[in-house]
Amino acid sequence: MTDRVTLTIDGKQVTVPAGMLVVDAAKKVAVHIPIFCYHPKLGSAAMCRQCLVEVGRPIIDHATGHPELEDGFPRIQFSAKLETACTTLVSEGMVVLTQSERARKGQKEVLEFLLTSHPLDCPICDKGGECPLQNLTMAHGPGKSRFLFDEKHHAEKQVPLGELIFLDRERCIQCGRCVRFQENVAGEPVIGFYQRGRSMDIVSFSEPGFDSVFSGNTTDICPVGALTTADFRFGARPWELMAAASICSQCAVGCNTTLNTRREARSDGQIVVKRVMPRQNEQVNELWICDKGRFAGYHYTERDDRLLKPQVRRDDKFRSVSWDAAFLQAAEKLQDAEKPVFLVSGRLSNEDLFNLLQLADGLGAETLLYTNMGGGDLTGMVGLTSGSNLADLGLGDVILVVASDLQEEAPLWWLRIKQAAERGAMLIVVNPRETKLEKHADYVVRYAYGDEIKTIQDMNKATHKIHKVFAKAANAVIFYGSEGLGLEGSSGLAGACTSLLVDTGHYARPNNGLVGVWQRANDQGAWELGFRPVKDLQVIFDKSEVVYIVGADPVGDGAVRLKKRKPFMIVQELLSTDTVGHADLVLPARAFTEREGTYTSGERRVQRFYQAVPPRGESRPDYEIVAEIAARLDTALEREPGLVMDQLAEHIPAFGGISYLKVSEVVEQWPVINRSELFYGGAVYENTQGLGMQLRPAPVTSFPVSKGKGGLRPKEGLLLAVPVNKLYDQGLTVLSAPLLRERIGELKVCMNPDEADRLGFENGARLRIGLNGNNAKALLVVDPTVPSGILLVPRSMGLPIFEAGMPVLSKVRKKVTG
Amino acid sequence: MGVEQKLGNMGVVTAKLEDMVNWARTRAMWPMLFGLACCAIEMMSAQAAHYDMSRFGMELMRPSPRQSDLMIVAGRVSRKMAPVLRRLYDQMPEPKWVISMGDCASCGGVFNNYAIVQGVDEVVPVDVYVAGCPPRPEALIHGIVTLYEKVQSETMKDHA
Amino acid sequence: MRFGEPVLELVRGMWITFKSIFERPVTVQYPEEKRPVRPRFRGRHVLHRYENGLEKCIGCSLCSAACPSDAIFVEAAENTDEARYSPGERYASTYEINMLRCIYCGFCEDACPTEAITLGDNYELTFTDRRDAIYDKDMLIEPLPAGSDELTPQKVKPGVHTRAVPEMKNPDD
Repeated sequence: MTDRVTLTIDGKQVTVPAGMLVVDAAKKVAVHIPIFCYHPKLGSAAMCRQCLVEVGRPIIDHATGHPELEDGFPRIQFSAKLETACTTLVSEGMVVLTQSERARKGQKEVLEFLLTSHPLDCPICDKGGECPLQNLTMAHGPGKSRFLFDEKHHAEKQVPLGELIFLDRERCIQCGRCVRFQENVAGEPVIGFYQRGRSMDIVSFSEPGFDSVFSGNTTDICPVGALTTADFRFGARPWELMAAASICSQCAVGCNTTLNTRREARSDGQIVVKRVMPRQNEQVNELWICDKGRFAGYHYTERDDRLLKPQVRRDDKFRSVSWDAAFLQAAEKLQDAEKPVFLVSGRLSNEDLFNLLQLADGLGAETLLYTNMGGGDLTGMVGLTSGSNLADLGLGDVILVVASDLQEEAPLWWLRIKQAAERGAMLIVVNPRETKLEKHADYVVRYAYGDEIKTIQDMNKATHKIHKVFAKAANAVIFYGSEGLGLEGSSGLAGACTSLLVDTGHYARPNNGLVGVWQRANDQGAWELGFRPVKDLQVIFDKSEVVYIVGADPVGDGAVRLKKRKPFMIVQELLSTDTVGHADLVLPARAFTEREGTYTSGERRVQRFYQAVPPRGESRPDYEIVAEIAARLDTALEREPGLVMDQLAEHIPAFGGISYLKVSEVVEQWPVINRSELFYGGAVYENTQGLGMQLRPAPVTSFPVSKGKGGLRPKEGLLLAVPVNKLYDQGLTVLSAPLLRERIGELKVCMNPDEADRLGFENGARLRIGLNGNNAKALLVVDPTVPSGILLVPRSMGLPIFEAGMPVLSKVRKKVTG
Repeated sequence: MGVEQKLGNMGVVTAKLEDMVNWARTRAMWPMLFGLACCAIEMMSAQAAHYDMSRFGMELMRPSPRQSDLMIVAGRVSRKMAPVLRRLYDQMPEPKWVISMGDCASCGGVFNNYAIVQGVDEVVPVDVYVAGCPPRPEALIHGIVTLYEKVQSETMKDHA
Repeated sequence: MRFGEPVLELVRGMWITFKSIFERPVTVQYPEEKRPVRPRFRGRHVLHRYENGLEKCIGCSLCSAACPSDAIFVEAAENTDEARYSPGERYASTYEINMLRCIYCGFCEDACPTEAITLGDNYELTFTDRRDAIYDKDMLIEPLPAGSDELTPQKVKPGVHTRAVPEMKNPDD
C-alpha cells in the first residue's frame, strides 16, 4: 500500500495522498465539484447531497490481486448509485465522472429540491452576489421547477441569534456548516439544530445569544444568506464593494483581512469601510478572524473625534496651524531640548518606528516603548523564526501557555493552539485561574498569583516532569502573557521561559520559541527595532523638557499624572485622547486603513497592509510626519514606506532580507479558495497580496539570566486587584464599534465566593472600587474560579489600572447598593 | 421709470439697456456646430425643416468661430480633440455661450475611460447641459430655450 | 451642351421651390406644440408605488449593477414595521440617478425585480449646473396613487409586509 494513489477525474489523471476525499482531489486538477455542506476545514457531513458524482473502481481479480484488464486497460465498475464526493475517499485506479449525464442529473435534482423551500429573495439578500446557492444554481441548476409554487416553505425571516448574527430561517438549507464550525473549529457549540425535517431550525442556546468570539465566521461559510452579521446587514451589495488587503490592528496575531469599502451617502459621500473579511493565510489565521477584528476592526478610524488638523496650544486653547508651522515648531522644540523623549506604542507600523528611531538617533533622544509587558528583547532572540507555522505543530510537540487568558487576548492563537492540541501536540496551561483553553489542555498547572516565575523556574529542573516533556519534544513553543504581572514581572517570566526553552534546546529553529501575547499589533516590531519600556514613566515626564508621544495615551491610561510643571508635549495621534487634551502640539496621524505599512506579529511575521480608504482631513502617515520633522533638522529620511522598509532591512539585522516585494509574495495555499467559486471555502478572500515573511533567527550565544520576583501576592485583610485583559473592553478601538456595546457591558469585577461571603458581598452587588486614587462603579461577579484574596479588574473598562500593569493591593472601602 | 408716462403720447418706450441687449442677443444667436458623434445627427435634425432652429434666430450653423455666439458640443470629446475645441472656443468673439449636448459631452457618458474627456466643462465653460443619449432634437431646442432664459437674466457685469 | 440647358435646369429647380410654397409646412412648433413620443420611448425615470402607497423599490441595487454608465446610486437600509417604506426587510434610503450620465437604455427597468423603476416620456432634461442633473428619490418617485393617503414611511401592522419580492407565480399558469 503506497501512501499516494492515482485516480482519474473527468479524464484528468491526478496523484494525491491516500485518504484524501474525491472533492479535494478534484480541486487539484481544477475540477470543481459543487458542494454546500462540505468545507475543507470542517470535514464531511454529506447533508446536502449536492456533490453527487459517478464513481467507478477497477475490478480486482481475486486470484491475482491485480485489476482485471480489458484491451490492456483495467475494467472499471461503476457503482449503481451516485456517490457523494465529499465522503468518498480516493482509491487506486478510481474513475470519477462529475459531468456525466447521470451525475449532472443528480446534481440538478438536488438543487431542485433545495430550491423548493428557498425563498429566492436574492434581490434583498446580503449574500446575493457571493452566494454559493446562486452560483451553483446558475451552473448546475434546473431552469424550471416541477414543484408547485404555492407550496413554498415559509418561515420566520429575521431571527436574531445574538446581537451580532441574524438568522433567516427561510433561507437556511440545513447544511450544518455553522453548527459544525462552532463545534469542531471554534470548540464552542453554542448553536445547534432543533427539531427535524422541514421544521429544522438553527437555534442558539447560550446567554447572551451566540456567545462565541468566532461567531462572525459562520456568516462567511454559510452557503446561503441565512446567517448575516448585524454590522453589514443591508449595508451594500457585494459586487459594489472594493477590496483592499489589510492586517487586523487589534492584537498581536496579525490576522490577514480584506477591507471592503464603498462610497456612501450616509457618510457624506466619503469612501468608508463597510466590512472586514478574513483573507486566507494558512500560516496565521487560516480562513478565520475573531469577532473583535470583524466588528471592531475599523470603526475607531471613522470616529467623529478624529484629529484632522495640526493644532498648537496658545493661551490654553488649541489653534489650527499649517503643517509647515507645526513641523517647524516640533523641530525647534526637539532640537532645543536637552534630551527629548520619544514615547511610542505598538500601534505604529515598522516604518513609523524606524523613522522615529532614526530621528531620535540624530537628536540623541531617548526612545521608550509604551507597554506594560516586558520580555520583548527575549522574544526577539528566541522567538519564532522563518518557517514557523502553528499548524505544523502536532504529535510529539509541546505548547505551553503561561499567565494569559488567550481567548480573551488573542483568539486566533487560542484557536490554533486548540487545533494543535487536537492534532496531538501536548498542551500545558499554566495559569493562576481557570481559562477556556484548559478544556483542551493535557496538563494544567495552577499557581498562586506571585509565583509565576518560580513555577516556570521549577519546571526547568531536570527532574521536573514538564522539563522532561520539553526535552523529549520535537518542537516547543511557549506563549507567555502578563496576567498579574507588571513590566518587571513579565520580563522575569519571559526570562524563565527562555531558560526553559534554551536548556531544552528549543530555540533558533522553526516552530520553536517564545511568543509574547502582546496587546498591540506591532509591539513585537517595536521591541525588534530596539524600543524598550521604562519602569516609571512619571519620572520621565517629571524631568524631561520635551516629550514626543506617538500613538499612546499615557494620561488616559493613568500611567502618568501631569503636574503643574509638565514637559512640552508633542502628541501624534488619531483620536482626541486625554493625552491630546494636554498636548502642546498635536499632529494628526492617519489610521492604518488610510495608509500603507507593515506590522510585525507576535509570531515575528512581517505583514503588509494597504491603503483602503482616502485619508481624513489633513492627516498624514506617521512615517511621513517624522520624515518632515527630520527634514527641518537637516536629516533626510525616506517618505515612501517601501523605501523606509529597505532602509530598515539594511539597518536592523533581524529584518535582513525583508522588503515589500518579499512580504507580498504568495504561494499556493491549501485549501485552494478563490472568489470565482465561493462554494468551496465560503466568502473568504483569497490571498493575492502577500503572506508576509518571518524575521530571521537572531544569532545569540548568551542569554540574560532571568531575575525578577513576579507579581504581588494577596495579603491578609487586603484584596489584590489583578488587571486582566478582556476581548471587548472600553478602549477607544473597541468602544467605537456600536455593535459591541452590549458585549462590552459595564465594569465587572470578579471575586471568589468565599471572599465575597467574608466581606458580606453578594453576587451582582454594585461596588465602588478605588484604586490608585481612581474611582469607578463596578458590578461584582462571584466566580469560584477566582483564587481567594484576588479581585479581577478588567483593563480599559473605565477604571485606569495602568501602573505599569502591576496588580495593586487594595482595601475594600464601602458597598454601594442599587 | 415714469418716463413713459410723461412721454407716453410721444411714442417712446424705455427699457433697461441690459434687457435690450439680451433681447437682441437671443434673437440672433448663431451657433457654431461642433458635431463629434451621434449627437450631431440629432443636431442636424434640429436644424432641418422638422424642428427648424431658425425659428430661434439660428439661421445657419457656422463652422466658423469668428461669426458665432454659441458653441454646441455634440458628442464625446476625445483628449486629442480637447485642445482643438478650446482653440475654436477661444477664437469665438465675446459674448459666447456653450451648450454641451448629450451625455458624453456633459460627463463622459458610458465612456468612462482614459481617451474621453469626462465632461467638456473640463475644457470650456458650459452654460447648458442637455441630457440624452442622444437627446432628441426637441431636447436640444429645450436646451436652447433654457440658454435663452439664462441669457435674459444676464447682466452687463457678467461679460465685463 | 445644348443652348439653354442651364436655364432649363434652373427653371426646373425653381419650379420645385415654387411648388413647395403651396405645401403645408412640416415644422413642429416645438415648445408650444409637442409631438407625442412613441410607446417604446425611454425618457426620464419614474419610481413607482404600490396601491397602498408603499414604494415598490426595495433597494436591491440591481438597477445600478445593470447600468452600463454607472448612473444609478442606491443605498439600502432596513425597514421596520414602525417606519416602513417598502414591503420586506430592505428599502432604498438613497436612490439617485445622474440624468447626465444615464443613456436611457432601460436596462434598469429590465433588472428591477419588482417593476419599481420605469422610463417615462419626459425628455426635457436640460441643466445649467451639472449638480442639478442628479435626481434623488423624492424627485423620481411618483405621487401617491389615488385612494391612499399615507406617504412613506408608514406605520403598519407587524407581519403583513414580509415579502420584498412579490410571490412568484408558476409561469405555466
